[in-house]
Amino acid sequence: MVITVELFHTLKKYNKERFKDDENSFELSIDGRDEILLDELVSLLNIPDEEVGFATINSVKHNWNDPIKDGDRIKIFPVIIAG
Amino acid sequence: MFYKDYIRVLNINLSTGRIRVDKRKDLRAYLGGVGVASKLLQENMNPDLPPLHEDQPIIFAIGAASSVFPVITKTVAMFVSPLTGELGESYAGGRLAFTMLHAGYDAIVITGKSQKPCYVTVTQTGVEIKDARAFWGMDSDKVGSYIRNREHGSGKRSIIRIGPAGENLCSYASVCVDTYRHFGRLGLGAVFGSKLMKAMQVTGDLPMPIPNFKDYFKTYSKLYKQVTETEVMAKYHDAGTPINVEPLSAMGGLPTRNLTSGTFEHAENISGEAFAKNNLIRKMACTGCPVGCIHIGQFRREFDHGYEYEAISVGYDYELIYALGSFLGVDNTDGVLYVIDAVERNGLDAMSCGVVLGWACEALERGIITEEQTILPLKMGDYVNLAKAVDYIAQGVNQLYTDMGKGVKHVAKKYGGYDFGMQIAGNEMPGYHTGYGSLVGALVGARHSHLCNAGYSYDQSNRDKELDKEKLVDYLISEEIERCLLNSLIICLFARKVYSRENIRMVLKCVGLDYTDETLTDIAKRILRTKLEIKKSLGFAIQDVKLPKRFFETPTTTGKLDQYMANEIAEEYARRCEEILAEEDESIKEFV
Amino acid sequence: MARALRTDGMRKCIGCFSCMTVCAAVNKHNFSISKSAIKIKTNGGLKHGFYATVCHACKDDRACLEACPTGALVERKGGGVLLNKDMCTGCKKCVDACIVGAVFFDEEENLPIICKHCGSCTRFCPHQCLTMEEVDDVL
Repeated sequence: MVITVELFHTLKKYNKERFKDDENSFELSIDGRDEILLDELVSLLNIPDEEVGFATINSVKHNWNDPIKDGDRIKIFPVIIAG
Repeated sequence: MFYKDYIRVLNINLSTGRIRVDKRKDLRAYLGGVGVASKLLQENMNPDLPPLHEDQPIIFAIGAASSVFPVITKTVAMFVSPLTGELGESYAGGRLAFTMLHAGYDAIVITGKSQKPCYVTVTQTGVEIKDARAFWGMDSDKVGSYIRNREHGSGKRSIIRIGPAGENLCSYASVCVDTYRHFGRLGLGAVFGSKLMKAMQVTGDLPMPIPNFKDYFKTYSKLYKQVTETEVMAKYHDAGTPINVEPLSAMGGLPTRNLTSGTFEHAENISGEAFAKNNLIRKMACTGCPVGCIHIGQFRREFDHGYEYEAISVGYDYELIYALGSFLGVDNTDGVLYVIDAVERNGLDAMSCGVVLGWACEALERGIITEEQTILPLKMGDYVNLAKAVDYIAQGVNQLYTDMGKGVKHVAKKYGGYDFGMQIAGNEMPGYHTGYGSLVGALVGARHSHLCNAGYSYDQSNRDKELDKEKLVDYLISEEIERCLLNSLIICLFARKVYSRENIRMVLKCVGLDYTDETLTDIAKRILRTKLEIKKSLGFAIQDVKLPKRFFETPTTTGKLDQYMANEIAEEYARRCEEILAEEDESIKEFV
Repeated sequence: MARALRTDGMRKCIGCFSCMTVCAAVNKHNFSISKSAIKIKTNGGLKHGFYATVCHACKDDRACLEACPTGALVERKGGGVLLNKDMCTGCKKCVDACIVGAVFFDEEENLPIICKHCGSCTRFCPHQCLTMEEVDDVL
């Protein structure tokens, strides 16, 4: 399966090598699977749990144990800060 | 003052023209900043008089370690709020703290009322009250340029001023500080207006020797490194707080269209990234802050036929995008900046203004008010007319707009629609509809701001857990106390993670204040106690607050809220406040 | 090799004034930025961006040095001048002579403020507006 992953801000650094120049997202192919849980994806991308705020699948908020399917667009956001 | 055992207070009486300087040793018990300002407000205010009576004071105070360490940049203003009728407390960055420090004042108390429009100049060599009659009626940008040209002090001054909204006593008029920062919330601008005070310039470059250079510089360097290497701070610099727009919307916590929803379908179009791509032209910093979170966006406006354009640049951040963007259904960055510009020119608080306009759009649609009253066909997303309405509010062009200028609670009580006039204890809601933390946090917070206790943060980290009332109350109260300490130094809350207790103690030691953790906690509690006493004397009680129903109808990030539950949490908090008020303040004796 | 302060990155300046704070602290042990040898200014209000006024490290002809009647200013390796405090009478001729306005005056000490090109400011410039450049060692 192939999905598009968009990482926001401070989360980008864990996947520097995957981003092409000037692009905010990258395509990720996961061999031999036709679905993967959000949780799994986060660990696959080496993002520490405490830095993750939440994630959306195709712009809709999802829980960590929701499945991602081929062609989905995933956005992962860091925790919200304000001042 | 650094290395001294007193707080230096400048008193300016606009009625008599008298100037007096006090050296107050006793105020050391309140450290500085919000502590000193609270005590001075308590001493100078009159709870029996209305907020805009000439006998009510304006207090400015800088913190115990202002300006000489990274990100310790803010000045606090305290007053009786014309919006809520109770505690008025607002913070601004810019250069004000820096200039007050170098002019030699920890605090400024302004009382009385000038006979004619005036502006005040404060320098290390004198204070003057000057004629501002020709400035009256000017927008805040214009009066800034005039004073800049007329007065000396280039590069080491701060000019704070009001626009037409303050002159016309709008209850949520702001005071603009150095073009891009503001005392935004709770109506300080109206208090300026009520005193016929258009502006104040503070200039200072007093020599201030550093007696312990080695210790100071070691501490400065360490903190500078922490600040500039912390990722959170990079986040504030890069895209800035607007980075929150998209995630909050996706989570369902972005107040949208007068809080009929927590999700804005056009969030992507007004996200931090969208602003950066379309409009961002510069970033700036407050004096003493290496982060530089001030984002300036530019848009183009056609002011006449024949391709006559002007380029307008205004500051933007998350709160403004929420209040004048998603809350009003404005779905593009240029449109949001267009409304921000109107709010800026008139000198209003962006959040309050957005919420009032949100009520007006809905009230008109429902037929509670008529188009005759609104003059314009006000509706969500129509940013050109919304911006015109901002002018009308500031000018009070008719009875409806004058009432809108008194806040959403006032106008909704008078015309109807209380349940969709989104205020909390009289203050228009902040940009977080995340759960009990954000809602009750703003209700019980001393100044009803999201920054009193950052309830939204609690909601976020406890999103997937069962609500624990006790734990939430514990969090809210301890955060409020800790922030009393941060605000007495006055550290920009963006850097709160950098300024741990250890770092705070180190910083204070460098300027001659060697305190234990216990003493600092006692001071923080003393400050909160003073604020609670002020609120009480002004007649505020948590139990009296009636929240608009919509807060409980539109689901938050953590689901729908229950009114009874919210009240229960608030009442528990009120009980804890009573405990704090009843506590014996033993340790104050150390300072007398 | 000698080094000299350069201000080529000033377009990135956010106006935090850390450079001035550090210069005054390191060189004068003072919190007042009026003691700083570098000054950050705006072109008329904050809407117009920042520029830095600081010694350009002139090499061949040094106007400030030429104007000094007592010989208190001497050539610095790599450009600019060094101040010999004991020989200075506080006449301010160097202040007038510098056409970029980079010689400031400390009224309290009755001495000109001369940039030593020590580079402290560059180490506390968060956006590399200020940098040190290696320059020829010539006097």
